[in-house]
Amino acid sequence: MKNIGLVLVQPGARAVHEPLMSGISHGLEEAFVRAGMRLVTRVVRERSAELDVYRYWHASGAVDAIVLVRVRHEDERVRFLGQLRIPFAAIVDAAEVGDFSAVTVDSASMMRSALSYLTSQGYSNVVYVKAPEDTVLSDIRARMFVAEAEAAEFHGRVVSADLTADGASSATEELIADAASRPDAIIFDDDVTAVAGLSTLQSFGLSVPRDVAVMAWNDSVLCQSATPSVTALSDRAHEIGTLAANCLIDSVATGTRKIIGAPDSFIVQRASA
Amino acid sequence: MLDLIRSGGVVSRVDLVEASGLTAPSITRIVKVLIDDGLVIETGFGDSTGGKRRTLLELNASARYAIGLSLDDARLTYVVTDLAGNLVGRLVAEGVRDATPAVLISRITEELHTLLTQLDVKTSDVVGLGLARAGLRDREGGVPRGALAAGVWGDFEVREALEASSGFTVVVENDAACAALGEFWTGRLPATKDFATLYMATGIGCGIVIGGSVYGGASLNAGEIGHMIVDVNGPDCWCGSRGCLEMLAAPRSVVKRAMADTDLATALSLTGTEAELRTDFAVIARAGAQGDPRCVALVEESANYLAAALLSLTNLIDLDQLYLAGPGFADAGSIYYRIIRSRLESFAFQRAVHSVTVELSEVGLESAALGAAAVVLQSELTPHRKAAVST
Repeated sequence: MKNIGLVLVQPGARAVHEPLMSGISHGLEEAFVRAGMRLVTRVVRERSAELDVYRYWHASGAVDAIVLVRVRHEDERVRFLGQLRIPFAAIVDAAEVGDFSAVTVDSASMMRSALSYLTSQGYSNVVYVKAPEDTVLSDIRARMFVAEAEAAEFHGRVVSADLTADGASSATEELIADAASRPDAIIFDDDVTAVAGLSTLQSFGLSVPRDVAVMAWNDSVLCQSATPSVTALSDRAHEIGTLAANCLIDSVATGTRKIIGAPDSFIVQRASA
Repeated sequence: MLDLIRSGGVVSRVDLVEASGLTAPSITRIVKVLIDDGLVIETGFGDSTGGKRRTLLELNASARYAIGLSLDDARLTYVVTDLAGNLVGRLVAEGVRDATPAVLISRITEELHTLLTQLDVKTSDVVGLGLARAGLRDREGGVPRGALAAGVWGDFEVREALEASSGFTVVVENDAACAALGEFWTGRLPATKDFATLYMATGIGCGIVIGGSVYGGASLNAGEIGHMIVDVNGPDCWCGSRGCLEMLAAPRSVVKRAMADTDLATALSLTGTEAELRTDFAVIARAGAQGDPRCVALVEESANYLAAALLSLTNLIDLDQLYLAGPGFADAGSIYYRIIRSRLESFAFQRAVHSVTVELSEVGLESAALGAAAVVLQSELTPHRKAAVST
């Protein structure tokens, strides 16, 4: 086994900066190179092209095994790769474990720790701004958010917004339009949206975190450099990448299915929440 | 011309006449050459302004591809981009480490062809290979005989050897300059902005962009910030000087300091060998990023020297934008970022007039390879030259 393949779907013409995916790629590359292998990443514009790439890789023999990311509920790619009999390992949510090797990320537990942190800081009216796309992660987080809100008896709401700065700004504007129902804390799905939400709050004269607290699901230098700096969940992306590479190498070497849990994320406490 | 069409998206010949200042017959001729070569396609008609309807032109991005390769000790990063500079794919493989030039050239040739197969790109559609590497170069992009170099590569003509074995046209450019171009190529920066990109791999370099193009100096070797003196009584440098930034801040110096602490070296399983230098550095940087106080101190010391050098550079040429790029920042970028930003905020001489923004490069590890591909696109697809030949 020498050539490992990864397909990334990037709809925009320009590469979108995603700290989570960069971290995962970096971890994968480092571990595969250390094992004497190499990682080829193919960028495609739409999701339908992804299966064509796998078909071509299989037919040409140019790639020996695959890493699968952003696995959705009942993902067709899982069945397709199984039919091709090409070895693969996936990075999946703990709720989506299937009959294949994978590194599991426990979003539900991440959401629990985010919420218990916020409630311990005294916030009681929390909104989770989730991505609208059908990424399984966002949906699992949203379900866990609602369940926790009921259990802990705080006021919790989920709204959807595009995972862009503009999407986050307009969602934030709507949330604060009515002072009476204004949340006292907002969780955004990533660093870019959190920082955009933060500046929207400030542009409406609100103080962060005194009036509204802000928390980001992914940490990055952007969170660190914002004023005030943004509290975030560490994503452990590099470690997840390393684990996924080792999971694939092990499962191919032993011919068995491997399931490895990703390390728990922790709260990077900064000034915004 | 291609650049005008690329940045304009969809344009008409009349737009090109206005934007380029060339005459209408010249534009018609150039566009015909571009269409015959498949580089530009006609995509339909624009709004009629009373007269003849204008045919719209668009870059045929997938007509040709460029390859960028960043030659680094820790990993070789290959990228393939289309004509518009969009990333089609990349390959990451074992680094240079202690390979001899001959062994490495043959491996690169094999990997180039593997990558093109993996991405289903035809060899004949590749316009060339851009190579980003550290070190001095002559005007043709080769390595001058007897040039100062830290490794075995000093006297080896990498460009000729790689052209002969791969069959591609090869353009060699300094890795820091490539990283600066790579930053540009992501399309976020306005094309006239002045900025500098500090690039750290095994060594340290700097790409300085003035008015939208990389500043080359008398021999295209500008930007050797690694040999800026930051301690006049500092250690001897391999370049013959002493107290150079590279001797005090680069991965080798961080690993050396870590090795002096035997407890730490054992705890992190550091090897202290030249072949594992970058792996050792990554381990220290990662431990620092996770808060190990001894590693934080080591990274901060390196960052302080970098901050001093960047502060001097900023004061000297009055910059308002700096980027940190390269594999040296991949693991502990946030510590470097914090120290460098705070130093510039507090002490930049021009701070009362304007602020200095510091950013970690968004394209990070890929920036040098992406910039190398951009160099190829710019140098191999100069339609002015092409059009002049055919008219």
